[in-house]
Amino acid sequence: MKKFFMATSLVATMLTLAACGSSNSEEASSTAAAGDEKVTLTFSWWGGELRHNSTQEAVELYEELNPNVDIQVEYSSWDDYWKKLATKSASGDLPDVMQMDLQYISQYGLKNQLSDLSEFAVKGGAIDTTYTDESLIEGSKIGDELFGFPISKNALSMLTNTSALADTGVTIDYENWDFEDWKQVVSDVHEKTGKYGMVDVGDIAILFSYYLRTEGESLYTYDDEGNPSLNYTDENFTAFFETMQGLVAEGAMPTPEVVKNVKSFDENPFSLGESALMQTWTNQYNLYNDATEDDLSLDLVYGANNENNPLSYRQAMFYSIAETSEYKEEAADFIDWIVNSTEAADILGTERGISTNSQVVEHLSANMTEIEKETADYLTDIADVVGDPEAVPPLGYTEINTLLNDMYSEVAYGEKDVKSFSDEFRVKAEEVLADNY
Amino acid sequence: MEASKKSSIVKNKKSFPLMGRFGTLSSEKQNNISGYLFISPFIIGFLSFIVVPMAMSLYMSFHDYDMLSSPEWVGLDNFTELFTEDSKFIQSLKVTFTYVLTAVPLRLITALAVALLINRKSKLSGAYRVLFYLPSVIGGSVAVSIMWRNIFGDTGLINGLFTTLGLDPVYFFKHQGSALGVLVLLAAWQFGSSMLVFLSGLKNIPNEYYEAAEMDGAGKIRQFFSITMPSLSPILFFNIVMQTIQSFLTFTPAYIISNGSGSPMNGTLVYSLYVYQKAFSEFKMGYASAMAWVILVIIGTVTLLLFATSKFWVHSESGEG
Repeated sequence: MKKFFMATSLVATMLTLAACGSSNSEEASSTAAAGDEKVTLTFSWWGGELRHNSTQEAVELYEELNPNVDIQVEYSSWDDYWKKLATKSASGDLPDVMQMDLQYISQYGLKNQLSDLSEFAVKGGAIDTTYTDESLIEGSKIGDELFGFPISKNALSMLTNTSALADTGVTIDYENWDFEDWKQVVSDVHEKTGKYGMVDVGDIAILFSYYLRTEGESLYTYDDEGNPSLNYTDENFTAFFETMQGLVAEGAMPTPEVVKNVKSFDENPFSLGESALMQTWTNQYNLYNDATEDDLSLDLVYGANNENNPLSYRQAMFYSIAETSEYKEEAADFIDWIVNSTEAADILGTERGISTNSQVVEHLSANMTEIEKETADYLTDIADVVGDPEAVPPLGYTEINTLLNDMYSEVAYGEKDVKSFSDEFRVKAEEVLADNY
Repeated sequence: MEASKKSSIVKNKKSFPLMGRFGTLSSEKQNNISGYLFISPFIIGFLSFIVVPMAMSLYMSFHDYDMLSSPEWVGLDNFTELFTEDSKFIQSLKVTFTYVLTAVPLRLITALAVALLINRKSKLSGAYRVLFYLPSVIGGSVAVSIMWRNIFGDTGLINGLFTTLGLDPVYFFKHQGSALGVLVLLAAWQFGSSMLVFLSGLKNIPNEYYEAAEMDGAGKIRQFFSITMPSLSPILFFNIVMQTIQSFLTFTPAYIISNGSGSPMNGTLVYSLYVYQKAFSEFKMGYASAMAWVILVIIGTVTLLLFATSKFWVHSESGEG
């Protein structure tokens, strides 16, 4: 009898505890509300400390201005962000407002995870586009649907550690240099100082796509029905990767895992003065300046002025609304405020890149630091030479990207030759595209 | 006895009207029901957190599931692709087996050696026990892995020491072999828990055995192999099985030290890391589930083999005086 009582009370206690525990850890996601009642939005982004702090400040301001809106934030680093988003998507729990990237927008958009913003993103609409660059909005659409609102733009640039470069005695003619010249510079820098000529960004696809554009090709192209295909020749593939292989073998460029193991901007060889150049997006110029005491400059990538207009504006990032969101209107209002308002801009600055809203850019230019001005000026200066924005990466892009980087690693370590790389990659990439379309 | 028990039950039924029919059951049945109630929290947990997810995972392994749209039936495609086209799968198996075959013996040998040393009566043996156990207390956590990465990193503690001494830095994480070696070292460093188990096993060996052996003229080494090892063999077997299973599933150190990439050149791509990559980076949850079941079969087979060979060397306590 006693045992029975003990047993039942034990079971009852454990079940209650379990129930309590789970209800405490449940995210207080959007509760059913109507009219002016409390609206809860979840907002998530990736970034570094600077972005986390400034964005939270902006969110708090919005909550003050809109007392009926409560915003729950979640932020993480780039790597972790996508893993979390995938799991949330599987449980139907995507945030109302989420930062989105070109690499993933097709994946999430075409699988009905993201809301179509075309109705919101019009002049005078919920997300006002009066001051937004139309071409970027059009370039962000997949078919007729807009799965993310582009909030900032950047372009590829060549960051130069002028202190490190000066030590080598090598000079660069940024206006006119081409791929061959670039290769020579990287080699020479290494020869003269033993340091890297250039450090890559960890994703060889970025450098490869740019190279293809200088040759008038591209990694992907879409036909009229929206089906993608590979758009480069084997010659160019081989030319680029043989060069890379050579430079890595010489030690003029690092092996892929060096950059993969770098956890923060101050640890990057470029910040440590171990590399003269770094080909990366303009919005990183600010971050690297903060990370190092050396002098840096923001310059044109090789071939920028050639007839193929390889440079292009790129949507640095988007804000998307989950298809499962119960508060799409309110989410759109929030996006409008955080992207288009000058109050938000004052807090956020240009950390996410130069805004797509020209009014915001003007408003901020009065208070921009030297570095930020340089970045903004670079973007306006290249307006004459930019080509069409790159096509939105297709479904299966992450798989193809992993393939390219993995195989490049093997080539860089001398475990595969470029010819096999070229053949295998083409076959596998086409398989992935065929699987998805 | 039965009669009196039954009459006491009937009496109790009057005092506890809520008991209903329970009071009229035999005491054996009452005990059984109480027993089941006691273990019900565990059963519920086991079912919901282990059995149900395993069943779902088996279901998923026959589907193509990218987590963003509903799963698509593909039958055995995941498995065939895994075994015929996936070179990373072979690589991850190689890495995992190498890891298991080096880390487990290293860890257990270190544990046994240290346990033997501490077993001597000495004033400091208590302190030693705590000291050696400390690393395992910290556990295979993220913090330890990060610390390990910082010690062996390109600009880490060891290289800092080398450069101060004027030596060239050693890039542990640049070569597949040394990177995996660092992981093995981390596993071996956490020998404390195994050591404590060995220590208790050693203390259970009656001293008379050793005294008798000495009187018969056996040397220390002979004593070790004829008394210590056989007596410890059940514990050794337990440790081997547990550590092997655990090592097959290792994830955190490999993930942290290689930044999730399994670099350099997939040299640290342990099996669970590859499963994680396939599931979360490449959006291929179905394929990853298939991989999970494959390793389950592998670990199960290895464990069965260990059990099968055990009767040849594990000294059984039963039937001994």
